[in-house]
Amino acid sequence: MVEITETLRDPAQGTAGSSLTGYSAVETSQTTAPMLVRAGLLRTQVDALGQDVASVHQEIRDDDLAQRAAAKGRNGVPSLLTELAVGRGMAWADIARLTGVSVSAVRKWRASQAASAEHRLALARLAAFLDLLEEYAIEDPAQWMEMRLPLPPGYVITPIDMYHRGDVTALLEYASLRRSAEQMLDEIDDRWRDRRSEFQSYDAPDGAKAIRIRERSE
Amino acid sequence: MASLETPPDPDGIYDARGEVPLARPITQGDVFRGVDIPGFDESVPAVIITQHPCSMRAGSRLRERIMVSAVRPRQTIHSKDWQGNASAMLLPNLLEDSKDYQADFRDSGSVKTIELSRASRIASLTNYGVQVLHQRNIYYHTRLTVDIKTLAETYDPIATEIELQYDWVESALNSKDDVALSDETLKAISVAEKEFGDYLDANDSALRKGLQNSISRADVRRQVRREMMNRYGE
Repeated sequence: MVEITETLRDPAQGTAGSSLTGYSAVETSQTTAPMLVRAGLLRTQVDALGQDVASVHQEIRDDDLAQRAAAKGRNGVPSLLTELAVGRGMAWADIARLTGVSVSAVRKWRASQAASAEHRLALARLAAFLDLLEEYAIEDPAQWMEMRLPLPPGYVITPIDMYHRGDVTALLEYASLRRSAEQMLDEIDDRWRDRRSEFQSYDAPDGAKAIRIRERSE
Repeated sequence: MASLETPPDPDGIYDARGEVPLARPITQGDVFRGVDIPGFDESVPAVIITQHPCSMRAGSRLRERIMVSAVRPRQTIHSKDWQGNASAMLLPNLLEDSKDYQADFRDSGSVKTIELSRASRIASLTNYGVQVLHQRNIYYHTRLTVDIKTLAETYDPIATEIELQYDWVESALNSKDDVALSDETLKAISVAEKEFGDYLDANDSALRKGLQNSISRADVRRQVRREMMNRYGE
Protein backbone atom coordinates (compact mmCIF):
# COMPACT_ATOMS: atom_id res chain seq x y z
CA MET A 1 0.00 0.00 0.00
CA VAL A 2 2.81 2.33 0.94
CA GLU A 3 4.71 1.44 -2.20
CA ILE A 4 1.71 2.21 -4.40
CA THR A 5 1.20 5.58 -2.75
CA GLU A 6 4.83 6.38 -3.29
CA THR A 7 4.56 5.58 -6.98
CA LEU A 8 1.42 7.65 -7.45
CA ARG A 9 3.04 10.54 -5.63
CA ASP A 10 5.88 10.67 -8.15
CA PRO A 11 5.06 13.43 -10.72
CA ALA A 12 7.10 11.50 -13.29
CA GLN A 13 4.54 8.71 -13.21
CA GLY A 14 1.89 10.79 -14.98
CA THR A 15 -1.54 12.19 -14.24
CA ALA A 16 -2.38 9.88 -11.35
CA GLY A 17 0.64 11.17 -9.47
CA SER A 18 -0.11 14.79 -10.21
CA SER A 19 -3.73 14.38 -9.10
CA LEU A 20 -2.46 13.42 -5.67
CA THR A 21 -0.29 16.52 -5.29
CA GLY A 22 -0.86 18.09 -1.95
CA TYR A 23 -1.32 14.86 -0.08
CA SER A 24 1.43 13.65 2.19
CA ALA A 25 1.86 9.89 2.33
CA VAL A 26 2.71 8.28 5.63
CA GLU A 27 5.65 5.99 5.18
CA THR A 28 6.27 2.71 6.96
CA SER A 29 8.35 3.27 10.02
CA GLN A 30 11.85 1.85 10.17
CA THR A 31 10.88 -0.60 12.93
CA THR A 32 7.77 -1.85 11.14
CA ALA A 33 9.35 -2.30 7.69
CA PRO A 34 11.41 -5.43 8.45
CA MET A 35 8.48 -6.96 10.38
CA LEU A 36 6.25 -6.33 7.40
CA VAL A 37 8.70 -8.06 5.08
CA ARG A 38 9.08 -10.97 7.51
CA ALA A 39 5.32 -11.35 7.98
CA GLY A 40 4.82 -11.33 4.20
CA LEU A 41 7.48 -13.98 3.80
CA LEU A 42 5.97 -16.13 6.55
CA ARG A 43 2.55 -15.83 4.99
CA THR A 44 3.91 -16.97 1.64
CA GLN A 45 5.60 -19.90 3.36
CA VAL A 46 2.39 -20.83 5.22
CA ASP A 47 0.39 -20.65 1.99
CA ALA A 48 2.88 -22.98 0.31
CA LEU A 49 2.86 -25.27 3.33
CA GLY A 50 -0.96 -25.23 3.34
CA GLN A 51 -0.96 -26.33 -0.30
CA ASP A 52 1.54 -29.09 0.49
CA VAL A 53 -0.53 -30.28 3.45
CA ALA A 54 -3.73 -30.21 1.36
CA SER A 55 -1.99 -32.23 -1.32
CA VAL A 56 -0.75 -34.81 1.23
CA HIS A 57 -4.22 -34.92 2.82
CA GLN A 58 -5.84 -35.55 -0.55
CA GLU A 59 -3.32 -38.29 -1.38
CA ILE A 60 -3.95 -40.03 1.93
CA ARG A 61 -7.71 -39.73 1.46
CA ASP A 62 -7.51 -41.14 -2.07
CA ASP A 63 -5.44 -44.01 -0.68
CA ASP A 64 -7.99 -44.53 2.09
CA LEU A 65 -10.78 -44.69 -0.49
CA ALA A 66 -8.80 -47.21 -2.56
CA GLN A 67 -8.26 -49.41 0.53
CA ARG A 68 -11.92 -49.20 1.49
CA ALA A 69 -12.88 -50.09 -2.08
CA ALA A 70 -10.53 -53.09 -2.03
CA ALA A 71 -12.12 -54.28 1.23
CA LYS A 72 -15.63 -53.77 -0.15
CA GLY A 73 -14.63 -55.58 -3.31
CA ARG A 74 -14.39 -58.79 -1.31
CA ASN A 75 -18.18 -58.79 -1.28
CA GLY A 76 -19.87 -60.33 -4.27
CA VAL A 77 -21.51 -58.24 -6.98
CA PRO A 78 -25.10 -59.11 -5.90
CA SER A 79 -24.23 -58.05 -2.36
CA LEU A 80 -22.75 -54.74 -3.57
CA LEU A 81 -25.77 -54.09 -5.75
CA THR A 82 -28.14 -54.76 -2.86
CA GLU A 83 -26.13 -52.42 -0.67
CA LEU A 84 -26.24 -49.61 -3.25
CA ALA A 85 -29.84 -50.06 -4.42
CA VAL A 86 -31.72 -51.29 -1.36
CA GLY A 87 -29.51 -50.13 1.51
CA ARG A 88 -28.56 -46.76 0.05
CA GLY A 89 -31.44 -46.19 -2.36
CA MET A 90 -29.50 -45.36 -5.49
CA ALA A 91 -31.14 -45.55 -8.91
CA TRP A 92 -30.01 -48.37 -11.20
CA ALA A 93 -29.48 -45.74 -13.88
CA ASP A 94 -27.02 -43.89 -11.61
CA ILE A 95 -25.25 -47.06 -10.48
CA ALA A 96 -24.80 -47.98 -14.14
CA ARG A 97 -23.59 -44.52 -15.10
CA LEU A 98 -21.10 -44.30 -12.23
CA THR A 99 -19.64 -47.72 -12.95
CA GLY A 100 -19.40 -47.11 -16.69
CA VAL A 101 -21.86 -49.71 -17.96
CA SER A 102 -25.40 -49.83 -19.33
CA VAL A 103 -28.46 -50.26 -17.13
CA SER A 104 -29.20 -53.57 -18.83
CA ALA A 105 -25.70 -54.78 -17.84
CA VAL A 106 -26.44 -53.95 -14.21
CA ARG A 107 -29.76 -55.79 -14.44
CA LYS A 108 -27.92 -58.83 -15.82
CA TRP A 109 -25.50 -58.69 -12.87
CA ARG A 110 -28.51 -58.73 -10.58
CA ALA A 111 -29.66 -61.85 -12.34
CA SER A 112 -26.35 -63.47 -11.31
CA GLN A 113 -24.50 -62.87 -14.55
CA ALA A 114 -20.78 -62.36 -13.85
CA ALA A 115 -19.26 -58.87 -13.85
CA SER A 116 -15.63 -58.21 -14.77
CA ALA A 117 -13.11 -57.54 -11.98
CA GLU A 118 -12.89 -53.94 -13.18
CA HIS A 119 -16.64 -53.40 -12.85
CA ARG A 120 -16.77 -55.16 -9.50
CA LEU A 121 -14.10 -52.77 -8.23
CA ALA A 122 -16.03 -49.79 -9.65
CA LEU A 123 -19.10 -50.91 -7.68
CA ALA A 124 -16.99 -51.39 -4.55
CA ARG A 125 -15.44 -47.96 -4.98
CA LEU A 126 -18.87 -46.35 -5.27
CA ALA A 127 -20.06 -48.17 -2.14
CA ALA A 128 -16.90 -47.11 -0.28
CA PHE A 129 -17.35 -43.54 -1.43
CA LEU A 130 -20.85 -43.44 0.05
CA ASP A 131 -19.47 -44.83 3.32
CA LEU A 132 -16.93 -42.03 3.36
CA LEU A 133 -19.63 -39.41 2.81
CA GLU A 134 -21.46 -40.74 5.84
CA GLU A 135 -18.33 -40.15 7.90
CA TYR A 136 -18.46 -36.52 6.77
CA ALA A 137 -21.81 -36.26 8.59
CA ILE A 138 -23.82 -36.62 5.40
CA GLU A 139 -26.82 -38.50 6.76
CA ASP A 140 -28.19 -39.88 3.48
CA PRO A 141 -25.33 -40.16 0.96
CA ALA A 142 -27.48 -41.43 -1.94
CA GLN A 143 -29.85 -38.51 -1.51
CA TRP A 144 -26.93 -36.07 -1.26
CA MET A 145 -25.46 -37.44 -4.49
CA GLU A 146 -28.55 -36.55 -6.52
CA MET A 147 -29.25 -33.14 -5.02
CA ARG A 148 -28.33 -30.05 -7.03
CA LEU A 149 -25.16 -28.29 -5.89
CA PRO A 150 -25.92 -24.89 -4.31
CA LEU A 151 -25.13 -22.76 -7.36
CA PRO A 152 -26.69 -19.62 -8.84
CA PRO A 153 -29.95 -20.15 -10.79
CA GLY A 154 -29.51 -21.85 -14.15
CA TYR A 155 -26.83 -24.37 -13.19
CA VAL A 156 -27.98 -27.95 -12.77
CA ILE A 157 -24.98 -29.92 -11.51
CA THR A 158 -25.16 -32.74 -8.99
CA PRO A 159 -22.48 -34.68 -7.08
CA ILE A 160 -23.41 -37.61 -9.35
CA ASP A 161 -22.28 -35.51 -12.33
CA MET A 162 -19.01 -34.74 -10.55
CA TYR A 163 -18.36 -38.38 -9.65
CA HIS A 164 -19.16 -39.41 -13.21
CA ARG A 165 -16.59 -36.91 -14.51
CA GLY A 166 -13.98 -38.51 -12.23
CA ASP A 167 -13.73 -35.51 -9.90
CA VAL A 168 -13.88 -37.63 -6.76
CA THR A 169 -11.09 -35.81 -4.91
CA ALA A 170 -12.70 -32.42 -5.54
CA LEU A 171 -16.06 -33.80 -4.46
CA LEU A 172 -14.59 -35.00 -1.16
CA GLU A 173 -13.14 -31.53 -0.58
CA TYR A 174 -16.64 -30.14 -1.04
CA ALA A 175 -18.27 -32.84 1.09
CA SER A 176 -15.83 -32.14 3.92
CA LEU A 177 -16.71 -28.42 3.72
CA ARG A 178 -13.19 -27.41 2.67
CA ARG A 179 -14.49 -25.91 -0.57
CA SER A 180 -17.75 -24.29 -1.62
CA ALA A 181 -19.49 -25.73 -4.69
CA GLU A 182 -18.36 -22.76 -6.78
CA GLN A 183 -14.76 -22.99 -5.57
CA MET A 184 -14.75 -26.71 -6.38
CA LEU A 185 -16.06 -26.12 -9.90
CA ASP A 186 -13.70 -23.18 -10.50
CA GLU A 187 -10.75 -25.42 -9.68
CA ILE A 188 -11.70 -28.24 -12.03
CA ASP A 189 -13.59 -26.59 -14.88
CA ASP A 190 -13.03 -22.94 -15.71
CA ARG A 191 -15.89 -23.01 -18.26
CA TRP A 192 -18.69 -24.30 -16.08
CA ARG A 193 -20.28 -20.84 -15.86
CA ASP A 194 -20.69 -20.83 -19.66
CA ARG A 195 -23.25 -23.65 -19.41
CA ARG A 196 -26.14 -21.78 -17.82
CA SER A 197 -29.60 -22.98 -18.78
CA GLU A 198 -32.22 -20.54 -19.99
CA PHE A 199 -34.88 -22.87 -18.60
CA GLN A 200 -35.98 -23.97 -15.20
CA SER A 201 -37.82 -26.96 -13.88
CA TYR A 202 -40.76 -26.17 -11.58
CA ASP A 203 -43.66 -27.92 -9.84
CA ALA A 204 -46.75 -27.55 -12.02
CA PRO A 205 -50.25 -27.27 -10.49
CA ASP A 206 -50.92 -30.96 -11.30
CA GLY A 207 -48.09 -31.92 -8.93
CA ALA A 208 -45.69 -33.04 -11.67
CA LYS A 209 -42.54 -31.29 -12.89
CA ALA A 210 -42.71 -28.91 -15.84
CA ILE A 211 -40.33 -26.56 -17.66
CA ARG A 212 -40.49 -22.81 -18.24
CA ILE A 213 -38.14 -20.12 -19.47
CA ARG A 214 -36.18 -18.58 -16.62
CA GLU A 215 -37.04 -15.02 -15.60
CA ARG A 216 -34.51 -12.48 -16.91
CA SER A 217 -33.97 -11.14 -13.40
CA GLU A 218 -32.70 -14.48 -12.12
CA MET B 1 -27.12 -21.38 -25.78
CA ALA B 2 -28.48 -24.91 -26.01
CA SER B 3 -28.30 -26.85 -29.26
CA LEU B 4 -29.84 -30.15 -30.28
CA GLU B 5 -28.03 -33.02 -28.62
CA THR B 6 -25.52 -35.09 -30.57
CA PRO B 7 -25.16 -38.36 -28.63
CA PRO B 8 -21.43 -39.04 -28.12
CA ASP B 9 -22.20 -42.75 -28.33
CA PRO B 10 -25.35 -43.48 -30.37
CA ASP B 11 -25.66 -46.91 -28.70
CA GLY B 12 -26.16 -45.01 -25.44
CA ILE B 13 -29.70 -44.04 -26.43
CA TYR B 14 -30.87 -47.69 -26.31
CA ASP B 15 -31.75 -49.64 -23.21
CA ALA B 16 -32.79 -52.75 -25.12
CA ARG B 17 -32.92 -53.80 -28.77
CA GLY B 18 -34.43 -56.89 -30.31
CA GLU B 19 -35.87 -58.52 -27.24
CA VAL B 20 -37.12 -56.13 -24.58
CA PRO B 21 -37.66 -57.65 -21.11
CA LEU B 22 -41.36 -58.28 -20.50
CA ALA B 23 -41.20 -56.69 -17.05
CA ARG B 24 -40.12 -53.33 -18.44
CA PRO B 25 -43.04 -50.86 -18.31
CA ILE B 26 -44.33 -49.57 -21.63
CA THR B 27 -43.19 -45.97 -21.88
CA GLN B 28 -42.01 -43.13 -24.08
CA GLY B 29 -39.35 -44.20 -26.58
CA ASP B 30 -40.55 -47.80 -26.87
CA VAL B 31 -40.61 -49.09 -30.47
CA PHE B 32 -43.24 -51.58 -31.67
CA ARG B 33 -43.67 -53.62 -34.83
CA GLY B 34 -46.98 -54.37 -36.52
CA VAL B 35 -48.91 -51.32 -35.35
CA ASP B 36 -50.89 -49.24 -37.82
CA ILE B 37 -51.49 -45.55 -37.25
CA PRO B 38 -55.16 -44.64 -37.89
CA GLY B 39 -55.63 -42.44 -40.96
CA PHE B 40 -52.54 -43.70 -42.77
CA ASP B 41 -53.08 -45.61 -46.04
CA GLU B 42 -49.91 -47.64 -45.74
CA SER B 43 -48.52 -49.74 -42.94
CA VAL B 44 -45.33 -48.53 -41.35
CA PRO B 45 -42.47 -50.84 -40.33
CA ALA B 46 -42.69 -49.71 -36.71
CA VAL B 47 -43.91 -46.95 -34.42
CA ILE B 48 -42.33 -45.20 -31.44
CA ILE B 49 -44.17 -43.78 -28.44
CA THR B 50 -43.58 -40.03 -28.40
CA GLN B 51 -45.98 -39.04 -25.63
CA HIS B 52 -44.44 -37.94 -22.34
CA PRO B 53 -44.88 -40.63 -19.65
CA CYS B 54 -46.61 -38.15 -17.34
CA SER B 55 -49.41 -37.73 -19.88
CA MET B 56 -49.60 -41.33 -21.12
CA ARG B 57 -50.01 -42.78 -17.63
CA ALA B 58 -52.81 -42.52 -15.10
CA GLY B 59 -50.98 -43.50 -11.95
CA SER B 60 -49.05 -46.62 -12.92
CA ARG B 61 -51.55 -47.67 -15.64
CA LEU B 62 -51.52 -46.57 -19.26
CA ARG B 63 -54.24 -44.36 -20.68
CA GLU B 64 -56.51 -45.76 -23.38
CA ARG B 65 -54.79 -44.07 -26.32
CA ILE B 66 -51.15 -43.11 -26.82
CA MET B 67 -49.39 -40.86 -29.35
CA VAL B 68 -46.89 -42.56 -31.65
CA SER B 69 -44.80 -41.61 -34.69
CA ALA B 70 -43.93 -43.74 -37.70
CA VAL B 71 -40.49 -45.37 -37.74
CA ARG B 72 -38.95 -46.04 -41.17
CA PRO B 73 -35.51 -46.94 -42.57
CA ARG B 74 -33.34 -44.03 -43.72
CA GLN B 75 -29.90 -43.37 -45.14
CA THR B 76 -26.85 -43.72 -42.92
CA ILE B 77 -26.86 -41.40 -39.93
CA HIS B 78 -23.73 -39.29 -39.48
CA SER B 79 -22.81 -37.29 -36.40
CA LYS B 80 -23.73 -33.97 -38.07
CA ASP B 81 -27.24 -35.24 -38.83
CA TRP B 82 -28.24 -34.80 -35.18
CA GLN B 83 -28.06 -31.02 -35.63
CA GLY B 84 -30.54 -31.15 -38.51
CA ASN B 85 -33.45 -33.46 -39.36
CA ALA B 86 -35.64 -31.43 -37.03
CA SER B 87 -38.78 -33.39 -37.82
CA ALA B 88 -37.33 -36.71 -36.77
CA MET B 89 -35.80 -38.72 -33.95
CA LEU B 90 -32.78 -40.52 -35.35
CA LEU B 91 -32.51 -44.21 -34.50
CA PRO B 92 -29.10 -45.45 -35.64
CA ASN B 93 -28.59 -49.22 -35.80
CA LEU B 94 -32.03 -49.67 -34.25
CA LEU B 95 -32.11 -53.42 -34.71
CA GLU B 96 -28.34 -53.94 -34.42
CA ASP B 97 -28.20 -54.90 -38.09
CA SER B 98 -26.17 -51.81 -39.10
CA LYS B 99 -29.24 -50.20 -40.68
CA ASP B 100 -30.43 -46.80 -39.56
CA TYR B 101 -34.00 -45.67 -38.95
CA GLN B 102 -35.82 -42.50 -37.99
CA ALA B 103 -39.08 -41.69 -36.29
CA ASP B 104 -40.93 -39.07 -38.31
CA PHE B 105 -42.83 -36.61 -36.10
CA ARG B 106 -44.83 -35.46 -39.17
CA ASP B 107 -46.41 -38.90 -39.36
CA SER B 108 -47.89 -39.17 -35.91
CA GLY B 109 -51.19 -40.35 -34.54
CA SER B 110 -52.98 -41.77 -31.58
CA VAL B 111 -53.28 -45.57 -31.28
CA LYS B 112 -55.16 -47.79 -28.88
CA THR B 113 -52.88 -48.79 -26.02
CA ILE B 114 -54.02 -52.38 -26.31
CA GLU B 115 -52.28 -52.53 -29.72
CA LEU B 116 -48.92 -51.76 -28.11
CA SER B 117 -48.24 -55.24 -26.82
CA ARG B 118 -45.09 -56.31 -25.07
CA ALA B 119 -44.73 -59.15 -27.56
CA SER B 120 -44.32 -56.69 -30.44
CA ARG B 121 -41.94 -54.33 -28.64
CA ILE B 122 -38.56 -54.34 -30.39
CA ALA B 123 -36.62 -51.58 -28.66
CA SER B 124 -36.64 -49.25 -25.71
CA LEU B 125 -34.60 -46.16 -24.92
CA THR B 126 -32.46 -45.23 -21.93
CA ASN B 127 -33.41 -42.19 -19.86
CA TYR B 128 -30.87 -40.25 -21.91
CA GLY B 129 -32.37 -41.57 -25.15
CA VAL B 130 -35.83 -40.48 -24.03
CA GLN B 131 -34.48 -37.01 -23.26
CA VAL B 132 -32.96 -36.78 -26.74
CA LEU B 133 -36.32 -37.85 -28.22
CA HIS B 134 -38.12 -35.37 -26.02
CA GLN B 135 -35.75 -32.54 -26.96
CA ARG B 136 -36.23 -33.17 -30.68
CA ASN B 137 -40.00 -33.52 -30.34
CA ILE B 138 -40.23 -30.20 -28.47
CA TYR B 139 -38.04 -28.57 -31.12
CA TYR B 140 -40.19 -29.94 -33.95
CA HIS B 141 -43.38 -28.59 -32.40
CA THR B 142 -42.11 -25.25 -31.05
CA ARG B 143 -38.67 -24.45 -32.57
CA LEU B 144 -37.46 -24.22 -28.98
CA THR B 145 -34.29 -26.03 -27.89
CA VAL B 146 -34.44 -27.10 -24.27
CA ASP B 147 -31.12 -28.27 -22.84
CA ILE B 148 -30.80 -31.93 -21.90
CA LYS B 149 -29.90 -31.20 -18.26
CA THR B 150 -33.20 -29.39 -17.64
CA LEU B 151 -35.11 -32.14 -19.44
CA ALA B 152 -33.35 -34.74 -17.30
CA GLU B 153 -34.16 -32.91 -14.08
CA THR B 154 -37.82 -32.72 -15.04
CA TYR B 155 -37.85 -36.35 -16.14
CA ASP B 156 -36.19 -37.74 -12.97
CA PRO B 157 -39.40 -38.27 -10.94
CA ILE B 158 -41.16 -40.29 -13.63
CA ALA B 159 -37.90 -42.08 -14.55
CA THR B 160 -37.63 -43.20 -10.92
CA GLU B 161 -41.24 -44.39 -10.89
CA ILE B 162 -40.73 -46.36 -14.11
CA GLU B 163 -37.50 -47.89 -12.81
CA LEU B 164 -39.18 -48.96 -9.57
CA GLN B 165 -42.18 -50.35 -11.44
CA TYR B 166 -39.75 -52.37 -13.61
CA ASP B 167 -38.03 -53.70 -10.44
CA TRP B 168 -41.37 -54.53 -8.84
CA VAL B 169 -42.75 -56.45 -11.81
CA GLU B 170 -39.41 -58.20 -12.36
CA SER B 171 -39.40 -59.35 -8.73
CA ALA B 172 -43.01 -60.50 -8.99
CA LEU B 173 -42.22 -62.50 -12.15
CA ASN B 174 -38.99 -63.93 -10.72
CA SER B 175 -40.98 -65.39 -7.86
CA LYS B 176 -42.86 -67.50 -10.41
CA ASP B 177 -41.62 -70.65 -12.12
CA ASP B 178 -42.44 -69.79 -15.74
CA VAL B 179 -41.94 -66.26 -17.08
CA ALA B 180 -42.12 -67.03 -20.82
CA LEU B 181 -44.47 -64.91 -22.90
CA SER B 182 -47.96 -66.22 -22.29
CA ASP B 183 -51.39 -64.94 -21.32
CA GLU B 184 -50.64 -66.02 -17.79
CA THR B 185 -47.40 -64.00 -17.67
CA LEU B 186 -49.08 -60.94 -19.15
CA LYS B 187 -51.81 -61.25 -16.53
CA ALA B 188 -49.18 -61.54 -13.79
CA ILE B 189 -47.52 -58.36 -15.11
CA SER B 190 -50.84 -56.54 -15.09
CA VAL B 191 -51.54 -57.66 -11.51
CA ALA B 192 -48.04 -56.66 -10.34
CA GLU B 193 -48.33 -53.23 -12.00
CA LYS B 194 -51.62 -52.63 -10.22
CA GLU B 195 -50.13 -53.69 -6.88
CA PHE B 196 -47.22 -51.35 -7.47
CA GLY B 197 -49.57 -48.44 -8.25
CA ASP B 198 -51.66 -49.20 -5.18
CA TYR B 199 -48.56 -49.26 -2.99
CA LEU B 200 -47.38 -45.87 -4.30
CA ASP B 201 -50.86 -44.39 -3.86
CA ALA B 202 -51.33 -45.62 -0.27
CA ASN B 203 -51.30 -43.07 2.56
CA ASP B 204 -52.50 -40.22 0.39
CA SER B 205 -49.88 -41.03 -2.29
CA ALA B 206 -47.04 -40.14 0.08
CA LEU B 207 -44.49 -42.19 -1.87
CA ARG B 208 -45.65 -40.91 -5.26
CA LYS B 209 -45.37 -37.35 -3.96
CA GLY B 210 -41.93 -38.19 -2.57
CA LEU B 211 -40.75 -39.02 -6.10
CA GLN B 212 -41.17 -35.39 -7.14
CA ASN B 213 -38.42 -34.19 -4.85
CA SER B 214 -34.75 -35.15 -5.16
CA ILE B 215 -34.48 -34.87 -1.36
CA SER B 216 -36.87 -37.78 -0.78
CA ARG B 217 -36.28 -39.92 -3.90
CA ALA B 218 -33.56 -42.15 -2.41
CA ASP B 219 -35.79 -42.85 0.57
CA VAL B 220 -38.70 -43.80 -1.71
CA ARG B 221 -36.42 -46.25 -3.52
CA ARG B 222 -35.34 -47.84 -0.26
CA GLN B 223 -38.93 -48.23 0.94
CA VAL B 224 -40.24 -49.64 -2.34
CA ARG B 225 -37.36 -52.10 -2.74
CA ARG B 226 -37.69 -53.35 0.84
CA GLU B 227 -41.40 -53.85 0.27
CA MET B 228 -40.62 -55.80 -2.91
CA MET B 229 -38.23 -58.04 -1.01
CA ASN B 230 -40.83 -58.61 1.69
CA ARG B 231 -43.45 -59.57 -0.88
CA TYR B 232 -41.43 -61.49 -3.45
CA GLY B 233 -38.11 -62.34 -1.80
CA GLU B 234 -34.75 -61.62 -3.48
